[in-house]
Amino acid sequence: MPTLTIDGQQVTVPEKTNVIEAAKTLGIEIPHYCYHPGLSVAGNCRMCMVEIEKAPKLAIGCFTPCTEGMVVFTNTEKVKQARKDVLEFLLSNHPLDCPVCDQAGECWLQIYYMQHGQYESRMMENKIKKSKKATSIGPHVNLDQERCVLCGRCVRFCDEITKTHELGIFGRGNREELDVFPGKQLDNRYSGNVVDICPVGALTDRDFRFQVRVWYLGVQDSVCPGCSRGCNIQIHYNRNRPHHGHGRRVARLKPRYNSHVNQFWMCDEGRYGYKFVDAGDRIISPMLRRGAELQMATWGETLAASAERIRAVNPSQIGVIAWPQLTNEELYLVRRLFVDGLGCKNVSFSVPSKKDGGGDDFLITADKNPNTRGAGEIGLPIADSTGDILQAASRGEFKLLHIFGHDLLSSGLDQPLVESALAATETVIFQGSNSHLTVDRADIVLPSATFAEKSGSFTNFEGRVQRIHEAVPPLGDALPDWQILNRMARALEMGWDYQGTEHIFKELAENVAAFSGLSYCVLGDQGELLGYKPTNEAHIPTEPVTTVII
Amino acid sequence: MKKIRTIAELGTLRAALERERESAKVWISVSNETCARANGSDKVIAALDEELRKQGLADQVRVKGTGCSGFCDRNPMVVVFPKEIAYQRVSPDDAAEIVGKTLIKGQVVERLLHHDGKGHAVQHEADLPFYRYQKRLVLRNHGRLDPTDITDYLASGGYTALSQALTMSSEQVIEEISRSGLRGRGGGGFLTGRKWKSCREAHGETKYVICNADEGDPGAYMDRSVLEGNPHSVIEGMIIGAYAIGARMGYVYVRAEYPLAVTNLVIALQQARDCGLLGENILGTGFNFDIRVNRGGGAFVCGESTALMASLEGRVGEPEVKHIHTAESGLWEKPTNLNNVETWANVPVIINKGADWFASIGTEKSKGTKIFSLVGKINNTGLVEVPMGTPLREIIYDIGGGIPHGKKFKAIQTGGPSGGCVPEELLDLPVDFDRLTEVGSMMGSGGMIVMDEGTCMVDVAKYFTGFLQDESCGKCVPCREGTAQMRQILSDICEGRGRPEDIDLLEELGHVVQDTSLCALGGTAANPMLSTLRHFRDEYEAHIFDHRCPAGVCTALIRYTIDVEKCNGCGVCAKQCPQNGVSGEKKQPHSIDQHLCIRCGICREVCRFEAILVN
Amino acid sequence: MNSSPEHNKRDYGLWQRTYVPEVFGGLAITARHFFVNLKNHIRRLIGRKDAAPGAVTFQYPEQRRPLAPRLRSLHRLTKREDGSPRCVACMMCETICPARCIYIVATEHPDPNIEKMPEQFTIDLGRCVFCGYCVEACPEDAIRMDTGILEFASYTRENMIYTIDQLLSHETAKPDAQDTQ
Repeated sequence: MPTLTIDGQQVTVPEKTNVIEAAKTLGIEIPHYCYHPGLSVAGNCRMCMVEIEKAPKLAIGCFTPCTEGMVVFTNTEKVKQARKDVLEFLLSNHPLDCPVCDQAGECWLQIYYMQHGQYESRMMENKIKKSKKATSIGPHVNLDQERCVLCGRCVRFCDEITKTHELGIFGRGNREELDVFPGKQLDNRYSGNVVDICPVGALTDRDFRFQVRVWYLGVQDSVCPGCSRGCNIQIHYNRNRPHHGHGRRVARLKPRYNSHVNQFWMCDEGRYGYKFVDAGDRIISPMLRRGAELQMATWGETLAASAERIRAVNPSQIGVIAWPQLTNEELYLVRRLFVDGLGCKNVSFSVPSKKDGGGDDFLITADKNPNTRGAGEIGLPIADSTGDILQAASRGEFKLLHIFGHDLLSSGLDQPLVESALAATETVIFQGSNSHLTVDRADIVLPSATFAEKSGSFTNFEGRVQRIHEAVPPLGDALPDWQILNRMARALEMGWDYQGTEHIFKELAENVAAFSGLSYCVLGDQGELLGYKPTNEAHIPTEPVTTVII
Repeated sequence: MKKIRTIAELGTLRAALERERESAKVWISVSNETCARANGSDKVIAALDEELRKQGLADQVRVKGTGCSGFCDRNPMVVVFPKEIAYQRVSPDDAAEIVGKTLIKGQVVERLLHHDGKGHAVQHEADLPFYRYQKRLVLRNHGRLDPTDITDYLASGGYTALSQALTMSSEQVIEEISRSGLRGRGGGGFLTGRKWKSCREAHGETKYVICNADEGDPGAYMDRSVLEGNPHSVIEGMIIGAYAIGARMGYVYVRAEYPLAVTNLVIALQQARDCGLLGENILGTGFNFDIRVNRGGGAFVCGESTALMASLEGRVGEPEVKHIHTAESGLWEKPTNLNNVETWANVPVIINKGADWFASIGTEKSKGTKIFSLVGKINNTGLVEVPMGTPLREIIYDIGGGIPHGKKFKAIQTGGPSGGCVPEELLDLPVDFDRLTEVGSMMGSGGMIVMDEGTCMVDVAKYFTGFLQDESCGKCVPCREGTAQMRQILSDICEGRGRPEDIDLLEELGHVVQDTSLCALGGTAANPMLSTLRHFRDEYEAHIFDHRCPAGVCTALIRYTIDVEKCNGCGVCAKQCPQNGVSGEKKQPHSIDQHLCIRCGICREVCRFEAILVN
Repeated sequence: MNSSPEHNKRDYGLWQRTYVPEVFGGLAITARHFFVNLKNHIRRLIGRKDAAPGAVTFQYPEQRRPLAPRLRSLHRLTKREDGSPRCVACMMCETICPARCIYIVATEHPDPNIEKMPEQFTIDLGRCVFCGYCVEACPEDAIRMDTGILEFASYTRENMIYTIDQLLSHETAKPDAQDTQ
């Protein structure tokens, strides 16, 4: 644990920490391009120059390990001049593409130039023409070789993280260019990450291309609902310029650093799997079946109708298929309402999917639901599996089925069984966000919010409970599931009413042993494992919070 | 060749070979390296063989193709032993005369001898002024040995150093090298003994030794010559090094553009293997070691140690940042000792003659000798091996024979493209690692390019900067973009577009590239420009402010005119001008049409009356 | 600071407060202008070209005031040589616009060296405050306010919304239009 001084402040860091990371703990930013904490050190951008006492030359911060008694200066005239000069070199061969470049606004060339730049041009800028501009090199990534600063982060990502080796730097000198190897495509399952780590606009996202300028975007922390890994993400949303991005409110997802879960990365499936949030099949109004048709109705009418039908049947005649896309709080309310409140015994949540989830040994898991573990811990299912519930329903044992989210008719379940169960049940209540075949068979449809439109928490497969936050308001008349359940409980005169998800979570922690000791405060932005033992000390997040990751 | 199983057996064999050589006293050596072959040495050998056959002497007199003894300018050199009569620039047509006169009649062919400045002919090779001032350790057997015949090397005392080293402990060998004060000849000047020691002490079972023969400096060819002319000296050095360090595998990383060096080296390695000097259980000592040859792809930067190792591993040849010296983590992250060809070739000398003897040569901090390739505007072009500390003046005037055509010396560029220029006032500088660095140049691998008054220093800086820009691998920003910018500015100055602020800008850029680059290529890339700026600033200023090239080289800044006094109207220039830009009446002074003139300089070359002026 | 009506009230002297003399003063000015103009008009009518022009009133719309070269008039989008818009949909104008009256939707340009172009470029003139920031912000000189068009009143709000085709069809004001007397 060497202790060193950076710009006059003392700091003690673990062995082998480099100067950039040590400075970061003090809140001092050392500009850099090629260095990335998740990748090996290349040391080629020469931007992170620092002055070290007694060293003859400037040293690069990324490659200099902290040693005992080291005295580092990050802001001397010499250092500033070196940064200025390196930036001048970089810019002397960089196209003036900013107006059309998607990276503009979050480009580290722009940012550092504004901070450290040499504002007047002194050189003859004979820019080298390169062959690939606006060329797609894979299903998700676009390449512009002229904008590339050749930091090599993307190459190292494909070599070290995915180990798929699609990218390489070809040629030499200032004719050097980044490209995919001949005959290859950048099509690994994590290819979108190269866009995140590209400090400039050389690699851009095809999905996000020309949708919204980044400065219109708002940012909200969340957790990816794409699989049971629960990668930490940021939702970038556009609420103010609805004509941009074809009306998509959620513009993109970006990974958020969490050392316990996903480090700096996320998979492409999760990254581009958010489209259902603003899809055309969103259910934007409650609906009631009147005659043969589902017709729009008000929340009052629908909830009253639901309550009436629930009251009319014996709890043993109610089947509930909950959804592991629901948050812990919502699943807890499912349990409170149907199990504890009504005494219903037939509650399940898992529905097999038609195709294999294709888990790998890095981030992607086979279970495509973010909260299977949470649903189990909260005590769902009570008795039976979904198959058993449908068997019973098809035998005519249920008068009412309450289905959350699942499209049973496109699932891996035995389809004739689903058909007969839906046909044999008098009332089917569907509560979910997007329309599909099963919705058409429902008698009452309750539109709910997606993960981007509500707050709460998910429990990943390792038992890490992590928070999600509302980025955009629910579309149309949709409501978060917990509010729908809350209103339904009110309509059923259950005698409880929750003010918000934190309120529910507090009670969840008190009533479910696995969650005991947890609170939103404890979860912080990095989550916490089930079975958490509070210490006497105030809760300190285990890792410094990294909001901007480059 | 029979496998030699013990050290004693090697001794017996050598004794036998020496006796054999003793008995065949009359023989002819013909230098047959690349430099000689370019001048037809192959044909000379064939012609001599043919002539000997004709005269019925083929069985008695052997004609040996040897390495170049250094006087490359005068190749093909033919030396007739035992009298060591040296003939220069021999053509196949001279074969009959050499055989007929010298061999049969014992006479000397005067016209093929070296004639010094005063017209005296020099008969014996050792008396040539070119050799007289040299001290040849590494090159001592060049011109004597057939590089493709290991028995030649053995007979001349080859592998005695290995025999001796194998009787010593590894520590003793390293101690001997350390005491000799040998420093890396590749340019870094790191103490070889210390390097070996840290590699020996590094953790790990597997260790490697590498010979760096990726000689890329324009105008330097010491390593090529050593590998072509005496590959066994390098192999012997590497075996001794591997024994001292504990390596079992060695690599020679050699430029693919040196085909003859590769051929000779591969032959030599196979012969050494056949003799049991490489491979398992060398000379019965239980020591195992082998060497592989790896041909480089032509990248200058691969001479840098980390880039070389990356290239050896099959990765892109680009330098890498390393915390740890390659002696501890090099090739495949194993402890690796990398030395230059010349360093390895010095090792057997040290073991044979002893560290103290070696340390007595040279200066306080730079021991032994150094080979320089003396090229450019110099009378005697060739390889020169002198003790460290020899003044530049001695090398240029005594050995090199001064500047041709009586022109004035201007500067000498040492250390290859990354080195710097040393001006006339520093000519008495003793050449060693530290003194050259002090004056802003460097030892480098030993290139020396002599420039006369007709050389434009801005143009020189532009050339070398351009070379380095072409060879920059592009990995780090300052070298990738900085060299391009410097080249651009230097071209602008040469083409008359220089701006007053350019000198300051160049200096600033140079220091940035020097301070912030990743490897030594970038770290020294500004040297040619900075050292010429330091010593020849006035030339830069003349280009920028006066739009004038003092040396008359930069075509955009010069004008050719005809001196009316001197021109007698012979019309030669008018005939030769490719633009038909010279006109005038016969026997009357001519004149040049400046609009047509493309400043090719042909008129000046052809004029016999020095009537063409440059300004 | 203190901007109460009390404070701004002018102090009138006795002469002004008597009212009638001021009325006559005003009438005198009007009358003087009338007669001077009358004289000038008559002199011009009878062919005295050297006489000063008479009226200070422009006979709009037959006669138009000369436009100052820097006048900000209706927007136009400039074109490339091939007639396509110069605009690359960088959104600078949309971002700077204080009235938020510019709506751009970007799309891919077939030429990768241009890369981006507007699919829609709409200006809601009902909202525009004619500040000219869009012109200042444009890095491509793609939007200008030099058409000289000042009449774009409309009966409906929809007609105040100008699409990309309309904006591209506008031409720069002709020099003679500026000199109209």
